[in-house]
Amino acid sequence: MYISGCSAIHHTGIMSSARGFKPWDSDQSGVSDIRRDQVLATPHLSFGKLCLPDKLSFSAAALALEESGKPIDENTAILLASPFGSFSTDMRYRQSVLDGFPSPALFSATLPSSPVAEIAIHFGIKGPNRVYAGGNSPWLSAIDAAKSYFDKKTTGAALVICTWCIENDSVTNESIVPERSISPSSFALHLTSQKPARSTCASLELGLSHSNETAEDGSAQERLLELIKATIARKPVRLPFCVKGFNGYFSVTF
Amino acid sequence: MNKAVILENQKAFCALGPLDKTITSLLEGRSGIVAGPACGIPVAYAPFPDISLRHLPATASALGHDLIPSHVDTSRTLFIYAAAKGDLSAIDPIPPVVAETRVSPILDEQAAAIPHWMNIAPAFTMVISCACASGAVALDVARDLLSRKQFSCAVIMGFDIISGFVVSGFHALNALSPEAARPFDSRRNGLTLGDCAAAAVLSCRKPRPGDMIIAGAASSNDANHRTGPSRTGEGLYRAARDALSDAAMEPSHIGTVKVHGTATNYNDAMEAKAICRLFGHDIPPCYGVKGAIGHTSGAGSLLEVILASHFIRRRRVPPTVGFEIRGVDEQVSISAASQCVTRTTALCLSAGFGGMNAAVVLQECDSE
Repeated sequence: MYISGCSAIHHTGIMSSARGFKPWDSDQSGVSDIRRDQVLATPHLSFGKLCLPDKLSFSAAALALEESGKPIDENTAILLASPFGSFSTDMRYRQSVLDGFPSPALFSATLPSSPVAEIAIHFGIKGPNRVYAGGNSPWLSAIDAAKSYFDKKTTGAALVICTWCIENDSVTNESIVPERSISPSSFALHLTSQKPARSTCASLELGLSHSNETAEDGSAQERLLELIKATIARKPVRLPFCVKGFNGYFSVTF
Repeated sequence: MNKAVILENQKAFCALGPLDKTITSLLEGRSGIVAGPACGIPVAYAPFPDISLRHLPATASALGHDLIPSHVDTSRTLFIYAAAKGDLSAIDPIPPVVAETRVSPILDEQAAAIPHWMNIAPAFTMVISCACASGAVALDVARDLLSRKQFSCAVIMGFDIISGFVVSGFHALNALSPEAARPFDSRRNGLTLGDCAAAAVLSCRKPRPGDMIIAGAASSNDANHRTGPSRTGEGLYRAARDALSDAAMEPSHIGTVKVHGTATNYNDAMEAKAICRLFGHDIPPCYGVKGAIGHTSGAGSLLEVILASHFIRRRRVPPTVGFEIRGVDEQVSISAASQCVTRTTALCLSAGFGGMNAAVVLQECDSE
């Protein structure tokens, strides 16, 4: 399969295959301050109203699709890995109920699958959907699902988005917030089964073998960032990994 | 016949009680829906007969007991937790008192604990959360991975319950009916929420006569609206079409259709369009269960596939409780009374917020 576009939004800035790397502006506090013009050239009326999990996943997807040209294949699969799901939005909706005014707009975003709706509607994508809202290495399941769709010819394109988003503020920072707090970030890969006409794409190989490994490694963000950095820098790389149940590797070539 | 993904043992609880009782009650046209208020809001709802089943640890334990048949190879088990919201008791703004011990409100953390409660030891755990299509998508995921020999068997558990969080949200969206839901009926006025816990074991092996095969599955997105379905039914049509293609079947092979049937104006109208587009003038008997057990969200789409498998085995479809006078323009053959069916295949339709659609094709194996 091929990486037709990719992006990463994390604490140091925004990077994508279309725009390269840009650190956060001096007036931005980081990921939670992301602006529409930093991810999308065209207007998006509700961008500013999106909850952070939706905004991050949408932004990463928009950046990864930027080089694809129009129209985007409407049968593209959307595969979202989101270990914290909509927890931040759940807490905001809960507060609206406690305040006596349950917000229908917030409630409609209290699902881990909420970002998929935003992406599908904006880009007119009607292909298969899967949302991996946790478990062991959901990022790996999402990329493996894209490979399976390609092998079975279900679709020829897939958008894999991996988002870690749990806000740490007065609404969500109650005793129930898990201790494994993690800085918000989002990564996206636009994968295709056929080599795109552009010469800038990378070839991605995913190798998997079964293992009895029981430990979950916690470096998924670093690994995905390395994969995306190598793709943008056009630098061949082989990234081995070992997660619960599987040994494997990513190989990026040009 | 080559190897296929088989729906092995299943267990479930809903407003009509445990699985066996639910099947019988549905075929007799009984309802588990009760008058409100639900969580202080004046709407009908479909609670577990025993409210203690809303306690996730106890219910997971009950579902896990004797769940996996001895012939199933558990050497490399995949566990999938399928839920839209799961157990929100820890953050419920209008909490019913169920148990002192509350679980994490994050699905990932619930999924990490459930195998212990179910007494299973998975090699890999997944959480599939695709709104009210979660259970159907989980079946699609399990089928794919078992077919590719990534795991020896899969255990899927769905759990979604009535909470103040969910009731207040649907009420804010004006989606709830004051009275029991009436799917596809001319007087339908919104949905009724229900409790559900369900579990199923899947394996990939050569089927024997009587085995229930997950013959095909697919999903799609409407790309239309966050909370409302497509007005044309195209997304659901695409999922159904692709599931049939995955099963290498034509629409004429399908014996019954289990509709999503939420009883909202838009859902049922959309679904009728999708069914008519798929089947043309030769529509098989269609039925829905949400007028009897409520809309049981992501877990419900697993339960409804399980129920469909039992209706195939019994060669009967249940009446669609709440349905009397057709309230959609299309000539969809919604069952008003229990009726016999001859073909041993079923198409199960699910849809959810965010434009999610999923379809699963079931087929009973009739020969070696």
